[in-house]
Amino acid sequence: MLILRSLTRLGPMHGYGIAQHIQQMSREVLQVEEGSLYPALQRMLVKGWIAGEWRQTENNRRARYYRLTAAGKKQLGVEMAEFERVVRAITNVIQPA
Amino acid sequence: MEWLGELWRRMMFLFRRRQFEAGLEEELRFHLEMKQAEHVKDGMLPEEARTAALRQVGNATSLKERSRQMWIWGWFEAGAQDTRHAFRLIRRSPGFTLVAVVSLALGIGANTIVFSVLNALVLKTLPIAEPERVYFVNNSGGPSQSFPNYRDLRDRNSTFESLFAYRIAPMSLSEASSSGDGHAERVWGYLVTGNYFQSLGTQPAIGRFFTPAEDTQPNASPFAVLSYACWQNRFAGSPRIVGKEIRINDAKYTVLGVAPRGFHGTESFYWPEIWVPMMMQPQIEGHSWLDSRDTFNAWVAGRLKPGISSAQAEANLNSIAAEIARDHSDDEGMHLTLSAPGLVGAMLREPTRAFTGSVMFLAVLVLLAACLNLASLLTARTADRSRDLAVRVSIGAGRGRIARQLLTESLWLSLLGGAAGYGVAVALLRLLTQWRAPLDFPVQFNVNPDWRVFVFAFAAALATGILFGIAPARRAWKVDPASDLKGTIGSTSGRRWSTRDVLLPIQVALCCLLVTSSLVAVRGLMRSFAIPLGFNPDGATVISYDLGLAGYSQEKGQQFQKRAAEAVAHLPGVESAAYSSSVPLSIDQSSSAVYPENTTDFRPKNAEHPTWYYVSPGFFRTAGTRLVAGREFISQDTPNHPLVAVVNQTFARRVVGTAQAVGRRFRLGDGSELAEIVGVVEDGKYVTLTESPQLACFLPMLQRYSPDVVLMARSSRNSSELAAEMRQAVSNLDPELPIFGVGNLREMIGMVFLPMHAAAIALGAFGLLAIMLSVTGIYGLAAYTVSRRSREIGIRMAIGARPSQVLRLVFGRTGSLVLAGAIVGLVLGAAGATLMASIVYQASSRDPLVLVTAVLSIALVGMAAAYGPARRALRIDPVQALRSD
Repeated sequence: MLILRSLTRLGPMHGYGIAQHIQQMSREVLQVEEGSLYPALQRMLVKGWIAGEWRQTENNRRARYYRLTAAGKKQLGVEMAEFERVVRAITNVIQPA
Repeated sequence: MEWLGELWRRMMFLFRRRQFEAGLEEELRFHLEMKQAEHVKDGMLPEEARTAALRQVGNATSLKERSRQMWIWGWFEAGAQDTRHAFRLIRRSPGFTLVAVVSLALGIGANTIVFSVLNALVLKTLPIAEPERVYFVNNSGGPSQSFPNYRDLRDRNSTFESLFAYRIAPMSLSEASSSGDGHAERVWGYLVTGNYFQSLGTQPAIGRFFTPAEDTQPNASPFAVLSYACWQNRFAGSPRIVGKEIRINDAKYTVLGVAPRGFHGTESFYWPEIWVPMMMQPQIEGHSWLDSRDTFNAWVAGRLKPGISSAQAEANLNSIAAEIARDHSDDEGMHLTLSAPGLVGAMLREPTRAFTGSVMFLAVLVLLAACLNLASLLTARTADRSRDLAVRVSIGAGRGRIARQLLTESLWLSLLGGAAGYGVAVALLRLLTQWRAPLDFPVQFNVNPDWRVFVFAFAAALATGILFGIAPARRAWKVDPASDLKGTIGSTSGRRWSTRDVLLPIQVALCCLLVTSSLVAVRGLMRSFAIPLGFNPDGATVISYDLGLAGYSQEKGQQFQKRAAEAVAHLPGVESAAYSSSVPLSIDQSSSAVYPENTTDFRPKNAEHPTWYYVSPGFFRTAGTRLVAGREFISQDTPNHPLVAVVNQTFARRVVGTAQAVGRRFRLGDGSELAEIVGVVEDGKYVTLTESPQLACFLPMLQRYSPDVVLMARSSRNSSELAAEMRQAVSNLDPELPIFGVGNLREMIGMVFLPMHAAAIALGAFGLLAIMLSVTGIYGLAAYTVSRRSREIGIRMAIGARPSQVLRLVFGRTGSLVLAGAIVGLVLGAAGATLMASIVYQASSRDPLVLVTAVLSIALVGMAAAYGPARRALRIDPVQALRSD
């Protein structure tokens, strides 16, 4: 979900950029491990939520940029809704009465 | 739809693997460089930054591996990879592969064959509609019912949709429609009631079947249905056969139709050529038993109504049986049971099941031995590879993955072995199916494998693969990179108990058990040939013919039989010739009731039922039966003289009450007729080899006529030559007479030896397999021990160990393991006597000869297997051994 969300904010971006973005946005709370990032990206490629293409970076290096597909947007909606539901539930439980 | 896209993308991945790998590689490199740049920006030195980046990213191989796994179905990918790896290893050690595949092929092949036979005889249902509702009705003590009882059961029962009766009957078939032209041949057929085909739910290939309405009046329905094979072989498959007239036993019959291909009724071994309505029985057999309550000649089977259980039907039939028994003293104590059809009800089914089941059990043991063998070989190999495995674990291979790879290896080995074994089994089963027993009877076993056999073979291969793969996989699971990489292998394995130490004795025990079994079987076979049969089949040549089928009257028949015997007796080299209604141990045996002379109550319970023969003068001399007292029949024993009989010793004891029976009399038939005993002959075997001493009674052929005879000649000449001359001699007297059952007597009675032969062949083969497996197993372990401890042996030799000490060191353990296994095996073998007794007659595993031979052969096997490794151990050059590693 975090990756999908980052891609909606950033537009097409490479793996490193996504990790950086998540780290920055979460103010260094969430460290994205490479060991999970790339398998996750591959899984989403398989599911067809994102698509990848090779492009040049600003400093002229070749990198794979991922972008959200229509199916990915839909999936993000589903996951956001689910996430909000859970958060609300947790909030309700821990709220002081 | 989404899964379709996913599938497509996965497929694309499969084809563009290389591109994908390169992409991921580049992506990671890019990632690392970015990280490094970031660290440099934070003030690190480039080198430092690179190390830090690498540390953060972690195990790149495992990361790539997991990314890749996202794409492919993990198992598929891993399986394909493992398979490639397995085949590389298989190719790299062809010797090991050969041993593994061959021993598996033999094990799985043997199991497939045995299972296929078991499947064909016991498991497979008959090729009829809804076979699960068809049951055979067993009478108390045998398969047969009297026809009046069948009628009562059919009409009074409420649980069967239909109940039919059938009887195996030989017939003389002539294709010509008029008498006198064309040669008649004896064929085997069925007499069946009119509802037979309807009950079995069979549709004719062409024409139609006869119906219940066409089977009501005796001798009024001369119709015939041909088997598909008969139609093809004798009538060239001509469609004009329907409605055509043929001659059976010299009477006209109309062919109504042809049964579908492969249909052969309800007995799985019997392939009739022709079906005739039961009401034609008097014409076909020459005398009628259709209204006789004391002749038990019909086999009865039927189709249950839907939803009725066999227990309900059995209860229903027995309540009728009780009524019948009340009305007729012949049926006293009648009790009916149902069993699956196919093997003459319960009569053959139970022994067949016991026999094939036990052989199957032993076959599984063979396979188990092969498994254990491979398990220990593979474990040894895995141990040799432990360093290689440790390296792989330390560079990031999961233990589960390695274990799985080893399992894949063993699975592929077992599948290869299974495929080879299945191939061999199918070829052998084809041969077995085509094989016709050298008998005058259409016995044929269709043991060709079907899907069940394939599934069995496949499952057996998988199971063995997993079974012998588990031990090495477990070992791989426990790989400890730290110690294994240090190269301290061998220092611990010398004393510690390992899986191998357990596997070897079990294997040797199994081998011992199998060797003992096969020796017992072979001994049993040898002994069964030496059992006194009560006659001497060697040197006796027989031909058979049925004058009744050829339309002879009793008077003309008796003349013909005498002339034929005289003609044969005058053939060169014939010592004596005689004829009889049947010979002992052939398929055709009949019995009849007799009573002691002073009996007044002629109910069945007071009767004895000796096996019954009509024999000509000179029969006992020709058959080689020893006369204990009295005389043979002579040509003066004619209907003008009082009825005389020759009986065997058991008869004399049981009916007359004394061995000195000559001159005493007994009653026969309904009790009104008396016969005087003029001779007593030795006991013999009459129906089966395994029977306890039975009563036998011989009456003179001249006083009691049988149109169906076996003509026997005793001669030292080659029996096939003589048989041809005998056939010619009889044909000279009547060229149209169908002659059958030509050959030496041992072949004619071969049916009774058949199970014994089968058992001896099967168990002998198992024994050989077991020995081969033990040799490879012991050899493997011994060779492995030597190679493992070559350094240690080198050191010991260098400091002055004598060869005997070295041998004791290396083989002491193996030897004691083998010894332990052998003792357990022998004890098991001795305890398996009951099992053996059900397979082989005359089998005793307490036979000292068998035990000694088993012990000797195991000892020999052990020594032979250890010889090579022992020599190698003694030739170890300390200098060489210490340098290696």
